[in-house]
Amino acid sequence: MAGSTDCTSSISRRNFIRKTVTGAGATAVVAIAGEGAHAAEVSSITIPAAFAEAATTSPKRLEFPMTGAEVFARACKEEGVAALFCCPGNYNVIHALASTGIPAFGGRHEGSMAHAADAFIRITGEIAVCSGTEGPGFTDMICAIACANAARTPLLVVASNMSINQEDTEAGIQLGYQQPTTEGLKKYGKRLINPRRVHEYAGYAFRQLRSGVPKPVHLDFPSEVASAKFQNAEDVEFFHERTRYRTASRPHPSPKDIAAAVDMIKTARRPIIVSSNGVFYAKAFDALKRLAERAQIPVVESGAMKGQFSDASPLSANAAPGALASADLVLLIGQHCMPVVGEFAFGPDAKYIRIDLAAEDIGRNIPIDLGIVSCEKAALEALADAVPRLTHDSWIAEIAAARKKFEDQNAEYYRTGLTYPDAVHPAVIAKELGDFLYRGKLPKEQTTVASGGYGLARYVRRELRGFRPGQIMNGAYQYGAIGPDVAYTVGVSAAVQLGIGPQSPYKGHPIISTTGDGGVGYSIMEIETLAKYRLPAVVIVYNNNAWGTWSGAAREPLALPIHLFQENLRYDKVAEALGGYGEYVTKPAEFRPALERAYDLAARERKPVLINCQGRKEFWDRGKYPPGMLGKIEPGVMSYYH
Amino acid sequence: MTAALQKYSDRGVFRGLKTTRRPGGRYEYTFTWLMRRSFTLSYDPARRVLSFKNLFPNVTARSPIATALREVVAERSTNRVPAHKRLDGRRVQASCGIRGGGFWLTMRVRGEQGAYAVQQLLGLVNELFLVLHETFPDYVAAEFGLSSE
Repeated sequence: MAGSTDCTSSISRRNFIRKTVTGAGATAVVAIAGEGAHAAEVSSITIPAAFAEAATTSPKRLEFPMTGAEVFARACKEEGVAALFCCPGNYNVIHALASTGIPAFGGRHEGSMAHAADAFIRITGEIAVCSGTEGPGFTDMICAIACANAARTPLLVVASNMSINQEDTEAGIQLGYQQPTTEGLKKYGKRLINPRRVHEYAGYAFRQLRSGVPKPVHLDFPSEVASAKFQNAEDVEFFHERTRYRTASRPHPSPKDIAAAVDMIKTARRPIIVSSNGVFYAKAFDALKRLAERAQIPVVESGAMKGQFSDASPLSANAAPGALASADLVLLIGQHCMPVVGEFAFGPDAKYIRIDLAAEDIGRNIPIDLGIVSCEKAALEALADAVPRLTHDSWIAEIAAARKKFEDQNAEYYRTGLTYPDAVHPAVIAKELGDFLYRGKLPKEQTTVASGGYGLARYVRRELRGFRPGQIMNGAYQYGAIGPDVAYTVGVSAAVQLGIGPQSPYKGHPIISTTGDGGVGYSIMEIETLAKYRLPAVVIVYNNNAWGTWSGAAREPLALPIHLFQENLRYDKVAEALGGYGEYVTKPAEFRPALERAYDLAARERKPVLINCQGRKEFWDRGKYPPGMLGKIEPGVMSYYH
Repeated sequence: MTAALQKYSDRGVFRGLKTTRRPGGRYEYTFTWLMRRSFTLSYDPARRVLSFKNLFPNVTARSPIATALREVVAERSTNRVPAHKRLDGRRVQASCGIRGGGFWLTMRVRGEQGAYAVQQLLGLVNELFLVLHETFPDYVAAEFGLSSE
């Protein structure tokens, strides 16, 4: 954390290695210190003193005279921007943002840092900024912007973009047309061309970010804007506080719509609520709980984050996929990314009430029986006030039975996984992780999880549970990128270390992320970012020597190598080399002890620990290694498409 | 049957419902439904049987998929499923099997139970798809165009 002043480890790296030297940990020696006589000659990895100095430096309140970048940064500060994730570049803007005291994180790739910002927002509900330099730095962020767009994340993307004076000339390097590049990936975007309107366009940005259905906003800064100098407020054409350029007012439901919804709820035998992104961003958790409990309506979640409704409640249907098809009334609340018919498990006789901020989206894909345009919180509060006390005992019993069947199935997968002794099956990782997080020494609501990976995720999701808002960051949600997982880890861990929004009670605790060997290759360098900012995290890597897609090419010898890696790669050593720690696990029984060591170490040393779990690609072959590659049912614990 | 199916079309569950009379008095219904794919359901009034003849193509008789699908259909008539899902043997009878390399599903209608039969049959098809989605995603990708990502 930038706030930490402790840049030296309380445990020496060598002592840690000695402690874990039996089995998996032994290999870490080579990564850190080399071998034999060379060990003593190698300098240890150190965090520059500048990090500690930054932590003790007071932020400054930006006052005139200011540059254009400073005017923008001041607007961001006053809007409550919670973090900046970037790489060097767009210097005037990122330096101004950092100078205000907005926590700033510099990483190894602009795309990763944009992913980190997306993840940060998904589990805090607060706005974060990502930034890249003109040209390559900006285009590096494209995948992350697309992910955030699909996840409906209010991500503020800023990038420098050469100068207006040299527009179209290709003078120098890195000039590009940024706004057309993000077309279709954002809610709003603007190349700022009039320095005097920089504050006005900050207003444009925050109006979009803080209203309606969120998506990314992209501003590109030519040098004339970022470096413009303003002596006083009059020099800036538009300079007002935020209550003058946007409203916090949100649409409320009509009483007629609420009455119609209550009538439908009263006559339904098996109603269910689908709680999604909109409930999270509206912070409608209490209203959701009140409605569910008063009318005894089960709740299932979908979305880019989970935990809006506690899985400890008997009304939670997240782990009861077998019951979903029985629902006769579905209340879709804040489900911004709508499935088409058949993508959710609900049957053909289910009726639908959709509550959403965007009238223009209600009725898309799934036909509605009632649409309500409203802030999710306002609608849930109105429904909770209006609905009578109801009982649905047999329906809740059906959900309980389906939950038991699902958990029995998971237990069977685990037992099967244990029968494969010479590699770690993903069912073992999933079950042991669930036991560790929710059925062991840790309070079950404590640990925030960045859920990622491909094949591994199909097992792990089945075991992950949410007991409070923002507990699970659903990495692959909708856009399906599997590479950002370590970058997501940065954003999630930063949010927890800063204690932002719903992460506040869990400030300081390590987070856990999951990924595969395909995914980790994209963003593993961000282990270094975790390490230098002292962000404690346990990164679980399922290493099966291949992309998860390999089995589709198993009978195509010329294509198969496209899907394969070298076998037994040592991602744990990479983590060690980047200032974190590593564990290498090759047998099922080794995983849980390694997880416990990793968690303790992450908590104690405030560092990332990567657990490299050696699996085998053939575990996806259902015929040879049942249960093979698993699929999913949505919504609920397995969902990530919608 | 036509009226019962039309209700699903009117509600937007189906798209493009088309009814065709076939020789022998049979009805053939085509509509777009799950996975945005075209389904063909036939009804033989003489035998009082609703049929999805090739509901799931490329399924072999003793394959794990066939076994799993058969179990779901068989379970539907038992008290292992909630009462509202349970097939009432006095009103309908479900059958399934493999023919011509594909999985078929039929519902025999007893008496004036057409609407009930349609409702139960469609609910059953929905649940068969859920089994495929959860346990055999590679099959759904290969045969129904589900993204393999």
